[in-house]
Amino acid sequence: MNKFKNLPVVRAIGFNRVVLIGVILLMYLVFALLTPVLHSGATFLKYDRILSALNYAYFIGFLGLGVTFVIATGGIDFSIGPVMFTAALVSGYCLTQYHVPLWLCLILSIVIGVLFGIINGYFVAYRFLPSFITSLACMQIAKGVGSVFTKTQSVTWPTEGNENAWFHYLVRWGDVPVGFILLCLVAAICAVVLNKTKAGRYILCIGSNKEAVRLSGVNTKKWEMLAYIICGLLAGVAAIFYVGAYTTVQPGLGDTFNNEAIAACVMGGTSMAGGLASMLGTVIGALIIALMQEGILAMGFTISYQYVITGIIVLIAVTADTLSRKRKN
Amino acid sequence: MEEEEALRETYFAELDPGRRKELLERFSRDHPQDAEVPLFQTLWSLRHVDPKNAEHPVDTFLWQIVNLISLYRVPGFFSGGTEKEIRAAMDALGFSAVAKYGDKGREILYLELRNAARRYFSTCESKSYGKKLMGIVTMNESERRDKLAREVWQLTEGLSRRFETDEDMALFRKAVRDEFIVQYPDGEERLERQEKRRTKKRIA
Repeated sequence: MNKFKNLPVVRAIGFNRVVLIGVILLMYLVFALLTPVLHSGATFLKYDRILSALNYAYFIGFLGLGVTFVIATGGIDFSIGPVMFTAALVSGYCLTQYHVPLWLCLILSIVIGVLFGIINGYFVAYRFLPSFITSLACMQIAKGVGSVFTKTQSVTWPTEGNENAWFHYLVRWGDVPVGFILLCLVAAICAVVLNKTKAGRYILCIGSNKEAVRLSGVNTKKWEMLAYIICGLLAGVAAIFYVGAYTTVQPGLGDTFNNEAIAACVMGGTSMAGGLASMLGTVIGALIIALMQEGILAMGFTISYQYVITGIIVLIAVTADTLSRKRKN
Repeated sequence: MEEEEALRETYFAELDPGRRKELLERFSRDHPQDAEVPLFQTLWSLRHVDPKNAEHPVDTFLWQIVNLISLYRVPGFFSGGTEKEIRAAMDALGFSAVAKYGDKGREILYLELRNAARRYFSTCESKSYGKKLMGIVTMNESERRDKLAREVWQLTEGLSRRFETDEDMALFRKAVRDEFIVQYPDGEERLERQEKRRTKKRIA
C-alpha cells in the first residue's frame, strides 16, 4: 500500500482522490450489474446514461467549486441552490418575456449570482454574522425573488433546435460532453487560484487562523468576501449549465442542491473546519453524486431515494472529516 | 547594564507592536552606542514596516508563520516551487538581513522569531481559531492545543522533511519549538505524539 501511495501520480493527485476515482468505477460496476436485475429490460451500459449523469454533474460541480472557496474560509453557503435557480428564472424570464438578447441573459445570470455573493459576503465579513444564518436568509430571499419576478410561473428556456438555443452547446455538442471539458477547465482555474495566487493563499489562511492573518496586516474582510463572490459567480455559471441540460426551471426550488454540492465538496477532501480544500476532489465528488442519481433512476427507484442517500452521504462525509481531523491532531 | 538587560527582556516578551516600538525607541535613546541597536531596528523595520504604506500596521513574521503552515498543506500537484517559496519566507523572516551581523545577528533573530511564534500562539486563543464545522461548533481546550501542536509539528518537522529544507529552516524550527515548549507545559509530549502518529503512518 505504501508503495502505491508513493507513486508519483498518486502523490500528485492525492491518495484520497484516487480512492474516490476507485469508488466511481466501483459504483458504475455495481449499477451496471444491478440495473438489469432490479429493473427488467433496463441497462446501465449505455453512453446516454453517462451523458445524462454528466448533465447532473455539471451544475453540482460548479456549485461545489464555488462553495469550496467559502468552506475553505471556514464558512458555509446554504443559498447556492436557490441562487442558481433564481439566476436561471430571472434571466430566463427576461429572455422569453422581454426578448432580451441571449448573451445578455447569460451575463445577467452570472451577475445575479455575484449580487447574492456580495450580499452573503458583506454580512459575513463586514457585519460578522454567522455564515449559516446569512446564507439561510439569502436562500429565502433568492427563492422569493425568483417567485415574485416570474409571478410563480416556471420558465422554459428555448429548447434545442430553436432560435436562441446555442447555449445548449455549452453542455453538449452532439455526443461530445462539452460541459465536462468546461467543468474541468474551470476546476483547473479554481485550483490554480486557490493554490498558486495571493487571493487563494489568503482564503486558505483565513480558514486556518483568521486572527493571525488579520494581525499580519491582511485585509481579511476583503478576501473573505471575495470567497463568497466567487461562490455566487459560480452559482450563476451553474444556472447556465442547468438550463443547458434541463431547460425548464421552477420557482421556489433549488435548496436540495445545496446539500449535494456541499457533500461533493466534503467528500472530495475539503475540510469543514476551513484551511484545506481540493478542487479536483470536489469535481470527483460531484461525479459520484451524479452517478448515484443516475444509478438510482436507472434501477427504477424514485428521486426521493436519492435525497435519502445524499443525506446519508453528507452525514458520513462530515463524520469522516471530523474523525480524520481528530486523528490528525 | 542590568537595566539594559531588563529592557531587552521586556522588548522580546512584549507582543503588542506599538508597545514594542516604544521600548525600542527608549532602548535606542538610552543606549545609542549599543552595537545591537541597528540590528533591532533592522528587524523591527523588516517585521512591522509595510514598504508600500508606512501607516499600515503589519507583522511580516506572523504572516510568514501562517504562510508556512499553508505551504505544508499544498497538494502534491501544486508543490513544485514550494522549496523556493520556503526560502523566500526565510528571507522575509530576516535570515539574509542578519547575515552580516554573524552570531550576534542569529541570536537576536532567534529571540525575534520566538516573539513572533508567541504572538502566533496568542492568536490561537481567539474565537475564530477554535471554530469547526462551518463555524457552528467550537473546539474545547484540549482540541485547540492538539490543533496548535499539529501546526507546530508541521512548522518544525513536517515542512523541512517534505521539502528537504532542514538547513534553511534550522533556526526558525528551533525558535518555534522552544517557544511552544516554554508556553505549554505539555508541549513536548504533544509534539512527541504528533511525531509518533506520523512514524506509525510511515511504517504502516
